[in-house]
Amino acid sequence: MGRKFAPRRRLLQRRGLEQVVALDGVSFTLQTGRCLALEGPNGAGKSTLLKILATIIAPTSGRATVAGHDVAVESAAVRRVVGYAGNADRSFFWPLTGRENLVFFGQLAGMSAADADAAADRQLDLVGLAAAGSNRVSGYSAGMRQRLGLARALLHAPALLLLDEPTANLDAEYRDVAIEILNGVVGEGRSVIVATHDPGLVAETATDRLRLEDGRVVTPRAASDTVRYAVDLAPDDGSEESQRLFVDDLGDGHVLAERLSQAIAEGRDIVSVEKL
Amino acid sequence: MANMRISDYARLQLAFLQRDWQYETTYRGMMILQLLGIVGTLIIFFSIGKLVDPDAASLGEYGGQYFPFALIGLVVSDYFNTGLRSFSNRLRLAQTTGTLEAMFTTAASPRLVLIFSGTWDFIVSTARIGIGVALSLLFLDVQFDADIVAATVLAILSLMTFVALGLFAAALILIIKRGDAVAALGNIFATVFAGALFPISVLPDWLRWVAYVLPLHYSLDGLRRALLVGDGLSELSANVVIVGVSALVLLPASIIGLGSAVDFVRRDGSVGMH
Repeated sequence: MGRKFAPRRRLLQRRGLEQVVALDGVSFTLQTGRCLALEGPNGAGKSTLLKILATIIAPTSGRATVAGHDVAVESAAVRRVVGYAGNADRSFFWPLTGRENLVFFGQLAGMSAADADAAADRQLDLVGLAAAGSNRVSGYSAGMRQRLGLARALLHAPALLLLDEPTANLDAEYRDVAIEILNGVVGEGRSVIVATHDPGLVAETATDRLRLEDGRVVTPRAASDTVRYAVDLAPDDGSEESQRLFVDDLGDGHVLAERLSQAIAEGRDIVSVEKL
Repeated sequence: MANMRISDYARLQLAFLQRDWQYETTYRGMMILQLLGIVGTLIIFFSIGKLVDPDAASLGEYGGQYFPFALIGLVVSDYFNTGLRSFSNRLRLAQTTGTLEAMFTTAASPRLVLIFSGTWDFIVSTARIGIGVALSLLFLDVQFDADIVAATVLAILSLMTFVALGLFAAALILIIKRGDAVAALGNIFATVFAGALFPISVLPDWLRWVAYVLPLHYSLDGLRRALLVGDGLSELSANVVIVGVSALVLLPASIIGLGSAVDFVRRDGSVGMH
């Protein structure tokens, strides 16, 4: 199986006592070695989409696969290749040190105690918490917990990194560190999906973009819309991997038309595009 | 889970024990309070034992002494309460601290995460019981006339039953997010109806039927007879069959139930809710 994934969802999720449609017909694929930015207002479904891919939430309809594994029926296999950083503020054992937390989660990720020890030190160093690693998490600032969350997601070198607002509490220095880490992950051929409201993060890391509103992928409604669906025309080597669809900010519909025309003129295959 | 080796299970369980040890040692004061609690409880029941007539007919089949009778009741109900509360308390803590969602995104099976989370409490319970029994043997003149084989068989089967009830409670809490009532109800059944602290023969006739449908009653009765008057497996066959059938039915059912509860909250989107 390839290392691309393709979710397609209409998800009912409980919010309070109500069942609401959290995602509705979202479809996309992402190639390995790419970073997809999920954008959209609060409540658009970005976090829900990440949680589906992390297997925390099971889809009520549709299908999503990660590394060829269906998130609904092969969740264990999916979790082995995914690193997830959600709300870091409330996801650690606060009486334990940052390092103890990482070693524990490393072992849950399938690592031996020795490997988890080594990986914890490596990741603490990477996110700038080497000195604070032996301090209890209860004494960490929100930004430090955010970095610890990133370190935890990276522990087992996952093929797909799922990050929910990874720069929300970071100062400028560590925001740059986080961006550097994400670009490094993508540079190694791994993939990242990041839900964010940070335009700078998108600009500096995203190779692909997807905007959600009310659980739907936003479709262009007029030529002047700035957010557009577009087609990335991958070289036609005949493989599924070579083709990908992504959402991009094209500025206006003329650019899209130009790309399509160019693609047709060059005779390159175009993958199907939904809701264009 | 299907591809895991025994060493993988052991490694995962050790990770949880290491975490809980680290957690526990940050609250050293609690350990001292627990030790004082054991000593206090023993003194209370030893004193009550002095007030109870040694020839009381209701204690006759258990050797006639109240304190050894109560001591075994305390031991069994401690394990019972640990079984009932450990998984659900750990689960509740993970729900409210937000660590449940984080653990559910790891390669470890959510079911194993929930089961292995509760093991530490059984170790603490065993240590607490060991200290209590040792103090009773050394300083409070308790003597056992035990059939070790019968006691061991009944203890293992009882423990399996208690674990199963705890896993059912955890499955319920995973879905309804509240568990206080489950634990409180369990405690009442143990102390009042099953005969942890007094023989059920002192209950009104119309209330005794409650004890007869509780596997815990047969655990208490069997373990007391095995430890206090030396009854063997043949004398305790009814107890062994009832507790054994309960364990063999409830344990697999509870593991399946826990898995179904995990699937339910994943579909419901409520893993992180509390």
